[in-house]
Amino acid sequence: MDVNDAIYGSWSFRLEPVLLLFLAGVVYLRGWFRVRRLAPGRFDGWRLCCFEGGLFTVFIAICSPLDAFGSLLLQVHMVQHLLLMMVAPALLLLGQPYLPLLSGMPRWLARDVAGPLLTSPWLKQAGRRLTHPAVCWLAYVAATLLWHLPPFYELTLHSSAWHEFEHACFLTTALLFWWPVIQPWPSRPRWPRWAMIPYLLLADFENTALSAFLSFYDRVLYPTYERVPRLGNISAVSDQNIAGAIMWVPGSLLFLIPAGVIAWQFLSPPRRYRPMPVPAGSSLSPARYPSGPRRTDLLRLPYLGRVLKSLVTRRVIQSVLFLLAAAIVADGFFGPQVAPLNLAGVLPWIHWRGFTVIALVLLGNVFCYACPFTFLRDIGRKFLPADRNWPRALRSKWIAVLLLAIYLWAYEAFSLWNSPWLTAWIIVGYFTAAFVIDGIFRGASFCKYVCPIGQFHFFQAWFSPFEVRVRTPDVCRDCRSHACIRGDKIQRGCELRLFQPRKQSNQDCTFCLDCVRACPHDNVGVIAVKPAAALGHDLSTSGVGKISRRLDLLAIFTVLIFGAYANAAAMVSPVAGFLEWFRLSFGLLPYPVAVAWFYVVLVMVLPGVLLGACGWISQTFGNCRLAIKDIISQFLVDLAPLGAAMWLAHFMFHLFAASHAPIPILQRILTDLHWLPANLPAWHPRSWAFPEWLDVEFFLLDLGFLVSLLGLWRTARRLGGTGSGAALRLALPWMGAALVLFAAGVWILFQPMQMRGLMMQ
Amino acid sequence: MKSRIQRLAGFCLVWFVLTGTCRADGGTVQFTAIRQGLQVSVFTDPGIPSAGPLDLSVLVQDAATHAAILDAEVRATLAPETPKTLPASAWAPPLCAANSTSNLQSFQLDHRAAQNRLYYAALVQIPAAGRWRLEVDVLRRGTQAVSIEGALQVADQVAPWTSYWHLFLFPPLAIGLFVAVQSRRSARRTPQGASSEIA
Repeated sequence: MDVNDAIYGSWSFRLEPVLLLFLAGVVYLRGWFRVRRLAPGRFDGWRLCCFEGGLFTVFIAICSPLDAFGSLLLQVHMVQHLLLMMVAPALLLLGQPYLPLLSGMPRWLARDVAGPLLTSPWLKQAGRRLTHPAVCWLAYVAATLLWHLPPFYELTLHSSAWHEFEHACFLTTALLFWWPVIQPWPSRPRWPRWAMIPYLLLADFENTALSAFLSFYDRVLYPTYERVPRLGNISAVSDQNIAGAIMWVPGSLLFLIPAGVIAWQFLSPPRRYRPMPVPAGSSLSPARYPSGPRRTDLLRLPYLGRVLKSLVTRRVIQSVLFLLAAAIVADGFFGPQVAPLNLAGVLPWIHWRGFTVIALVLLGNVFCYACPFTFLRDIGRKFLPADRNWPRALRSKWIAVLLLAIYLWAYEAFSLWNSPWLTAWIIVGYFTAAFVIDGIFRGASFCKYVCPIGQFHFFQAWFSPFEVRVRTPDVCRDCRSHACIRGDKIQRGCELRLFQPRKQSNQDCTFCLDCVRACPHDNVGVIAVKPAAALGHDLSTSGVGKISRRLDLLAIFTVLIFGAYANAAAMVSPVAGFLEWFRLSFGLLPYPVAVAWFYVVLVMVLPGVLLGACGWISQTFGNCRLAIKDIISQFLVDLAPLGAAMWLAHFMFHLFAASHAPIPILQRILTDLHWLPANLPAWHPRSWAFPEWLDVEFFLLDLGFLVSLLGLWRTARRLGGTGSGAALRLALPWMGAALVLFAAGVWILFQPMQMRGLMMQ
Repeated sequence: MKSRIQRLAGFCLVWFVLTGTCRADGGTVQFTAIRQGLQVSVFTDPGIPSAGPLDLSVLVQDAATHAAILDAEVRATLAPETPKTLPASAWAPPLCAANSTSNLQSFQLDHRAAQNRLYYAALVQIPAAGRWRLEVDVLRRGTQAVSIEGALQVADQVAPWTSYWHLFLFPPLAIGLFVAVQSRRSARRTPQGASSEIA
């Protein structure tokens, strides 16, 4: 690597600001496309370039080598500040961001949050005061002067947090400063246009004074730059003088050019006002934006939609996963019995679980769509009768509840993740169960009543952004074939007995798309929905009914909500230490028994006490006429987002920590097969791990907590009438329970965790 | 429809681009020495080291021209000056531990781990507070190894939650926003003068 490569390669990516910039860019772009249709003259390509260019300038300032070298050279630091104070804010405001950003937001966010806030009188008042030219000018000048005083500047050089705060100050005050100069539409000027000339010149006066001082001062103003090693042969004083010159010349130009333009406009003869052509029927009032787009339908996407809908695609994906499962089983039985060295110790427990939960959050129940177990079952049905009905007494989820509880216990009691041999047996057992049950009984009895993995996905799919549902309900009203559930001669209908017109959530939906292929009207799609929208409404959905009346489903929710925390807690040091102490205190209790106690307490006793207490408090102080068990069944589902968030954070933690773990295992297998020379595999591969991961985990937990609160509030409003006070009394104990779970999650995430799937523990 | 998928794909792309490995990040100069024509400067981030994860960076320059030297092999050793500091184990963000160096006896610093690629860097995990001795060895092909030493005063670890307090602001802020929006909506629904009409 030569010096130039090193300099140009010194980029950094900090998660939060980059993500924020990216989201702002996407929202603006989306909104710009919408508002351009209504006002093409006002929102032309130039505006788009300005706004995206402004975001890109911020990105360059904080992530490019400018940031890496700013602590060594003051002149580089000065360029970074100029970008943040002069270039980026002006470009952002030239993009006239108000309307595009508002229109680009998800509709519910614009309508329910941004709209009411932006129209609130106190915010309007605050905005009016804040954008007064005198306030804007003072804020900018004060920020520039204060941060260049040696004690403050030194503080930013020694603390990255203060450094980021300084940048935020610069950007915010600069946005304020440029506001009256650019006057982004639809804001109105407070001072006459000519007043912007002294406004800019006075700011330039301050800039000149500061930069002249830096340029001509013959001692180092900021001691840190004297202590850092010099790059090239530039002394600290020369560096400071160059920084001053940069601030002076380009900095002043950026004040003087707009001042000149305004003076030119002021002296030019006035142009006659020509109103912008506005298409008929449209209004530029923010309240009318955005005009409602059609909901996204994955199956209507060009090319991809047809591919997704095709049964061949599903079969190909299933067969690939089937072959992968076969490889895992083979390695589990015959490979080395050390988890990090074996496919069975890594792929099912780390990658499959991690990618599955990510897919659930980004798309939907992708795993069931690609399920290798049902692939073998479908082959078996060619030979097996599959003509019996699933016993009526077993038509519930109780078997699945039991299997889920056994799985949670066995996972920890027998360290399933650490035993390739046991993992291989579990996979074989799963294939056998799916093959036998669905070979004997009609429909997807295994998926609906037995499969614990499926239940986990149904639970998590409540928070997916896509749902298999009808496109136009009116079409279904006239349909007499009901092929989506009955099927026809060629294509089977829904094997889980979900009737599309009455389906209201992802519960029990395997995303197999049989209903899509069976519908003669092509009226079923994979359609975008608001995640967790059904929460708090206790909707009745086809094939399931009302969840609040399904004790078996509520049991699954309890196991999965509280199990999320118990499962994650079991891998942190203090809990592992406690379990060891517990075993020793009771005369060397066998570990599986200790773990059984642990799960009984955490998934049955504590939830029972917590939910019972909340139900009683709600009933007593909320004046609710429902029985305690009915109150619990109404509110319990609303705690599900907290469980889902914990599963997500937990599984993604393992995935990111051991992302590259299969690479050395593949090297080992290929070497064993003599397809690779006998080199020692690199057992310590790199990973996607990054220090800010904990931030992401907390953010997920925050999100789960907030969605839970929203669901609880909706339920309380539904049960307690329209009065906010009564609803609050009903909801408060449950919100307390959500807070307890949230706090438990925070505590777990802070603890040292086992690095499962790695050579280190 | 199309843009949603593009956004999703874009998000995934950015996500995977962002999820690089732990990177050291320059920071504050701890000590500098000139040996055999090489100027070696040691940086740490945070500037006042505390027990837990620490970004350690080294800049190797030609002492005469100040040109950065990038083809050296840099190794370092961290040892407590007082042996009693060893047993404690400081907290580290859980996932960060996967990529940090916990073997402080002898570890390599390289450009890949640095944000500023002129530096050689490593993310190390200092188990306990106290006075630590840092030795940095710089090896270049065809020349004698250069070794410099210095002391690091490692402070007690700050409570982990103090580094993450900003993340806990999100729920109260969102709740505040929700309450504000709800009260604004209910105020809008209640027509002015309704109470007087009822009266």
